[in-house]
Amino acid sequence: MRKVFIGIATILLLTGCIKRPWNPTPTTEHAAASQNVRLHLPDGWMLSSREDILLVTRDGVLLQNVIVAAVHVDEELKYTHKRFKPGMQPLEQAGVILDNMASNPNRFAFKVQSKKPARIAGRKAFRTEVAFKDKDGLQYRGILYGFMQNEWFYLVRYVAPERHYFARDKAAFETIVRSMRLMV
Amino acid sequence: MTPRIRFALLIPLLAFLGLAGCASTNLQPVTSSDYQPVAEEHRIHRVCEQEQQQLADSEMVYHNQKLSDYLNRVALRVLPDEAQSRIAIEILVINNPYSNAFAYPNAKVYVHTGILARMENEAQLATLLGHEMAHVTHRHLLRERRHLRNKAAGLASFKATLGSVPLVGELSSALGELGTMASVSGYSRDLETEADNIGFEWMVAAGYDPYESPKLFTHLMAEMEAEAQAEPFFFGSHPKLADRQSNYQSLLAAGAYPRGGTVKREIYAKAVAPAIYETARLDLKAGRYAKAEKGLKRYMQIYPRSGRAHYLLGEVYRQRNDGNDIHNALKYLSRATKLNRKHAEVYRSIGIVYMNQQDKQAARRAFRSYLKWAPQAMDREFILDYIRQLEQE
Repeated sequence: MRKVFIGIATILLLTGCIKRPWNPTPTTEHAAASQNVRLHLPDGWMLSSREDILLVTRDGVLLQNVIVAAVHVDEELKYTHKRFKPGMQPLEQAGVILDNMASNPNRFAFKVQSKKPARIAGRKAFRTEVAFKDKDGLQYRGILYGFMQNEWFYLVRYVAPERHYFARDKAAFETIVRSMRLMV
Repeated sequence: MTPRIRFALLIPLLAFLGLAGCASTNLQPVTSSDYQPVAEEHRIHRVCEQEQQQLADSEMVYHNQKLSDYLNRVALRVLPDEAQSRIAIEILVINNPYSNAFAYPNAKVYVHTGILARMENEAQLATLLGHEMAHVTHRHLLRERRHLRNKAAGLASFKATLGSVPLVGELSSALGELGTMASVSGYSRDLETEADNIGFEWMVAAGYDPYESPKLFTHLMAEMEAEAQAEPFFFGSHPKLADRQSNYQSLLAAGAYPRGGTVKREIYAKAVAPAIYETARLDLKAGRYAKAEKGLKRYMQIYPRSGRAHYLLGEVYRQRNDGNDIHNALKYLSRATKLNRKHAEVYRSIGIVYMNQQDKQAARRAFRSYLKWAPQAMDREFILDYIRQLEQE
């Protein structure tokens, strides 16, 4: 009976009826329709099959992760009741997303290290660097880019432990950001 | 082994386990002359120390010496001398806007800034600390663990239940197993009632007004209802608060307590003012505008000339931007500049308000003041960009 189940599962996997949770990143430009973006992902990383966000990592999400998310102005954020509003300036957009991160009860000693204007896909954006600790006191660092188009806020975020990983994969993240284009 | 033999062996085993269970949960409190610590307690204390180290490493603990001194003074006034001679009670503060307090069995009691900000006076604080310290002196965690160990299924369901409560999955990982048990689920109804009874007895003996005890829980429930907000902790749970309120009302009804005990409203408010401000700051970040507004107005009753409170209240109105909010934002921000003309962030907020109102000249003036007082500001480039835009337009 067990062999029959394994056989069926294998057939479903091979025919694509079951989605694998992680796949190697594509070598060509990747189109993420749910996030309305096209971008180049680094070779040798893994791409999650999640639909709600685009998530990639090289060694595992706890060691480094890059997410791309599109948040509608009507959408509730997880940790703050603040909302994005159409026409918000990048500095205020940064305020909302940073307050959401800072209100996460599992992140401690949250600090904003820099906040600067940026451009993504030709749009006015912000770039900010943050640092925080997890429950074990492990120090993490992150970079967030964000911008708005009409009623959507786009977030591109990189998070990794400060020791070893953050600096190592930062350049790969910046390459992802530079390659990003909106589909519509 | 035949079923008959197996059954015969099972009876003494069950009898032994039953007796062991009964004996193990019947522990003398530290206030008793028969008190003897057991080896299991030392192991539990080591786990407590690890969890407390984790809390310290994560920087959840809020450091304010004056506030700590005050809380510890009240705790020592409530805790009987015989307990003080055997345990070294210590009250610590956790920087968290939710209502809660919890005690580790090694006599460390943690109180959230959120509950300090919501309580009204020292008598209510004495009620809360009395309840928590009774958990320590009456060894409730050890008793509960032994009780749960005798009911393995109970432990499994405790963990499963916690995972399904919003936010608690994340918080429990930060607090550790013992901290989660003490802070989120609480103990069995019997042990919580015992803590109510003992804590009440102590606060009355210390001279506090017993009529403030049930008021604490009535007040916390009313606050939560007004905010229409569910909170993940023991003292944020409506049914648990209702139990406490009912218990303390029964205790009051059972004795003829004279009125006129110590309340200390003003002294309490002044002592916990930093927690009120900190909670309001965190509430603003989390977009709980009404709570932040209420907290800041209370803080400003204590410190009416606080520039930073005027600024934060102005920010509450500016960010909420509802009805008459922008008018109020400008009122409080403007007052903040008068109370401290070098408070740079105030000018940035004023600049944003005027920019959104298309008052370019006033916006430029405010942004320039911001950069004058904070020339190295992290967001300097944004503000220079705003000034450029305002000049071009």
